[in-house]
Amino acid sequence: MLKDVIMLGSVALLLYMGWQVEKRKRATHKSILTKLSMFYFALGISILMYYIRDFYVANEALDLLFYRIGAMFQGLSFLLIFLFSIDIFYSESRFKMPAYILAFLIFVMFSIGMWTFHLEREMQVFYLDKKYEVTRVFFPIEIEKIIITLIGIFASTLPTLSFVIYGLRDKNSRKKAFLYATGMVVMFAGSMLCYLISPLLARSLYLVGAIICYYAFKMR
Amino acid sequence: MRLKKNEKYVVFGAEEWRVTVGKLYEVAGKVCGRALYDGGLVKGRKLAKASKLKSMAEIESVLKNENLAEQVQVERDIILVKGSFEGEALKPSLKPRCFYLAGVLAALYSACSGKDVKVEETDCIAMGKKECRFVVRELKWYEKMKEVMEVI
Ligand SMILES: [Zn+2]
Repeated sequence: MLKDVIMLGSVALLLYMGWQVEKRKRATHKSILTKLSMFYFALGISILMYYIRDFYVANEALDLLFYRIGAMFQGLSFLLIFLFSIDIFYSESRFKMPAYILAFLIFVMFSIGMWTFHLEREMQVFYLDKKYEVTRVFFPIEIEKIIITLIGIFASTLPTLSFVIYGLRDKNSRKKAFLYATGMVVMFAGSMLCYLISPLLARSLYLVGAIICYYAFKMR
Repeated sequence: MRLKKNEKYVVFGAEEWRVTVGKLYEVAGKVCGRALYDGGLVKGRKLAKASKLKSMAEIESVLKNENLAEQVQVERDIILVKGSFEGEALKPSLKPRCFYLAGVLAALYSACSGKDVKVEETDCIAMGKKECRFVVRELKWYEKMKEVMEVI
């Protein structure tokens, strides 16, 4: 029950914010906001997929299918928020194309890996209601963990920095900018901890991150 | 042109503009320019929507319709305008005075190109030049971030 509230709560908040940003984007013609609204949508959908897969613990094929869709959307959300900050920082610079290409390549490789490599399910220690969790068996798990962690750090640094640096610059919206930065860090940390330690931690962190972002979003 | 249903519009003549806005420039200077620019952005967005603007070639008729300008010529990131309402009203001046028009142009340009831009006036008929000259440039990162922060 608690898990349902946490997960569906995060999904609802993220989808709501995505929809609101999309609405305001249309009103103001700020095309740059597309990637931000899509980031919220993608992250919301990925958590929804993770929620759905828990209904199919007994059916390994379906469980893994929803897991893969969820992971792809999560990768997509990382990609989108990264490209959003590239658009802000480097839209005029010669770094833009290489950064875009690099990010797309990583995303494509991640997706291919997600759909083709062998996945194994195993019991999760931290999971209170004894669900099964997926272990990926791409290469030796230690190497994979390092790679995925690096990708996570790579994708999350720039978006967070864009809010932090802007907050340092602009006194009036400092609090709002810092709140966004915190919300993003918490959500990214959630993703990484989900992968490294346990989904239980992550799912609560998504909700915390989403609430912080929502709070910043409501600030005028 | 009716831009939005249920919204009232008033006619604001050149003389009223000269007295009101001229006074505002006197007391508030740059702040007045910025406020007019923002107002122009709002107007420009409505105009782009109402006229279903597709390319910058169409902006002359849009601005003419609104009596904001008489002739418009767009060359890449330079926009040359003849007969700007604001410039005419605020003659003579040492500085460019078409901030509202610059805002309108920025919104129209953004609507056509999909880029977020800033429009700055470098020459103005208010300064005794033959035409007003506007330069379009992409926003700096903190300007983009500022606009984003205002929306999200
Ligand atoms: Zn002028």
